[in-house]
Amino acid sequence: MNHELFTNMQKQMNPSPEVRAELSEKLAQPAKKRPVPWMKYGAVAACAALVIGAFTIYGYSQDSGKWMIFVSNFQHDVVDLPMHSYVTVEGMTGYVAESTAAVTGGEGSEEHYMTNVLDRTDSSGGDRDMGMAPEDLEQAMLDVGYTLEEIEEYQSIGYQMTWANWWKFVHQQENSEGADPFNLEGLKLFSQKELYVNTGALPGGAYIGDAPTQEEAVNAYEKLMGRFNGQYPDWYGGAYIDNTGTLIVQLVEDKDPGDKTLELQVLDWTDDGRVAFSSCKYSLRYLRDLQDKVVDAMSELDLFSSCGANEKRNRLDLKLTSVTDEALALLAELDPDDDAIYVQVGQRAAADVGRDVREPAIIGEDPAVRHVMPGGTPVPDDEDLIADEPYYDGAHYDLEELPEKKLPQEEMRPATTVDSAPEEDVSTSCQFPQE
Amino acid sequence: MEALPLRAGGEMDEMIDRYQNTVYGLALARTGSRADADDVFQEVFLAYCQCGKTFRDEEHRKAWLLRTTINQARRVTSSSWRQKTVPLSEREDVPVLFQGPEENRVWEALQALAEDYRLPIYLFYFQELSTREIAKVLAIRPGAVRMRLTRGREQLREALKGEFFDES
Repeated sequence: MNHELFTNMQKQMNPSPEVRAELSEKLAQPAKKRPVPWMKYGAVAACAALVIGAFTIYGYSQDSGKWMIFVSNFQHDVVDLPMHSYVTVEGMTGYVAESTAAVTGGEGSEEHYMTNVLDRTDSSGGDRDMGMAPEDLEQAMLDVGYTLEEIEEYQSIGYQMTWANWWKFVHQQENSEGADPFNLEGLKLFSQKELYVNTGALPGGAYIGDAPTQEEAVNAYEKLMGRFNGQYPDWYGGAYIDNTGTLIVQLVEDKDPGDKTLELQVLDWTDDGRVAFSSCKYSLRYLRDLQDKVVDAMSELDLFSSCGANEKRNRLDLKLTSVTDEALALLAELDPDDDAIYVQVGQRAAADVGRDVREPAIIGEDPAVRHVMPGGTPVPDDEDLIADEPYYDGAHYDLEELPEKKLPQEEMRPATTVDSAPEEDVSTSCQFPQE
Repeated sequence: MEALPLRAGGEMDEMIDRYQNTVYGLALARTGSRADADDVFQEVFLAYCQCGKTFRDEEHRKAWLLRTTINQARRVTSSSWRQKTVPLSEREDVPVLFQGPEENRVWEALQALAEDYRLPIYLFYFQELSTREIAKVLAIRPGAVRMRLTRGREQLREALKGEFFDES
């Protein structure tokens, strides 16, 4: 090893004076901020996203059901056109009069609300929710043995009898133990519980039910409408009268919750009437505009049945005679959030009041509905929803500990003889509820 | 030898005077080009000035400078800009020349070695570092350093016909 040679070579390995001077000059300058290695950070972020994505997909792949849902949702969201959800209705029998605002009441309705509905369907059928014409009521009362005097006295009160309630009354009285079931007092008692009295009409033609308790709310509503002068402001989402007789005014959510100016203004307009407030998503003006578009679109497709603004639910209730992908795509375009239009699809059932009266549990409730996915896949027909209810033995009601095999008494008991209907309509608790 | 402050950034002229041959020599051995070695030399001392690091002792500081030199040299020689814009022929036109012919022969033989052998040979014979120190600078095991020194010496001995590397 030649140490001297290497030492000499090392001594010659030094920078030139120019380079050294340049370095001194750079060192004398203020230090520059070191560049941020964005490329490195970007690569790290991409790797992290890749790992997270891989774990997500791996987690889904562990459960084939979840994986199928994931693939289905991906195909639906990315590949397919968005489709509006809807429910199919077996024997859709909703009765709505053309261009009227109705106050609903009676069994199954906890609150009265106003809704303006357009309906093109024939209202001459015998649907169970239809109102009875005076001559129909007279004939029906004669049929069960009422005298003309009793009929005249009853009709003078002004109860709005419907076919469904009439047959309910008939069924109830037939099963009673009294010697004279069809007496006037019994009918009056029934009517007080189940019916409302026709004492006048709201500005939109709505009837006033329970007039004494709703009078203040109706007055407040009239005052409020007088202020609007036919032009609804953007903050107004509608109004309805609840079961306490209070007028609930819906205010659109986008206003500042701490700002009570509107509430004070409405109270001032209504002379501090019986008014309360609630928040909602859509203004009534928006819903009315949307209603026009929906009616036009569905009419062109020849699917339209009826459409009304449900001010209590803050949505449009749309009924179609049938459904097509084109209609659902159009509705999805009009209602991107899928919550402004409640779509019901189904043919009107033939009038069969005699059968309906044998099923008192369904009178006054929503019709049995079947929820379907936007693609239109219904719940299987052979699924006995009532029989699948958890068995209640009086002491335990634990969903986790239910026996897989049905208990003998369940198997022996037909669904139609269940004593108490479930509180929730099971057919409406499918996986795509609209509410 | 006068003690320098262990915190980087102070007494830069004295610092450069003391370590310029160390840094520049390693940069030259690594890149084979004076122009690149000039760049690496400046970058290393600029980085030293800006790093704000406090070293444990002079050995620590020297090791940091050598490691930074290797990193900067790798960055300079592997940058895509350089690979696309500097023709190889242009680099060959500016050889590194020493005063004596023997020195030039040794340098050419050293440059002909693969980088894995060239750097341990240079650090061992020119910078007179121990195998342990070389292992730290190159981030390899001391055993690997010894093996590379042995193989590098054999290749140099063969290239130089037995001169200069007869003894280990």
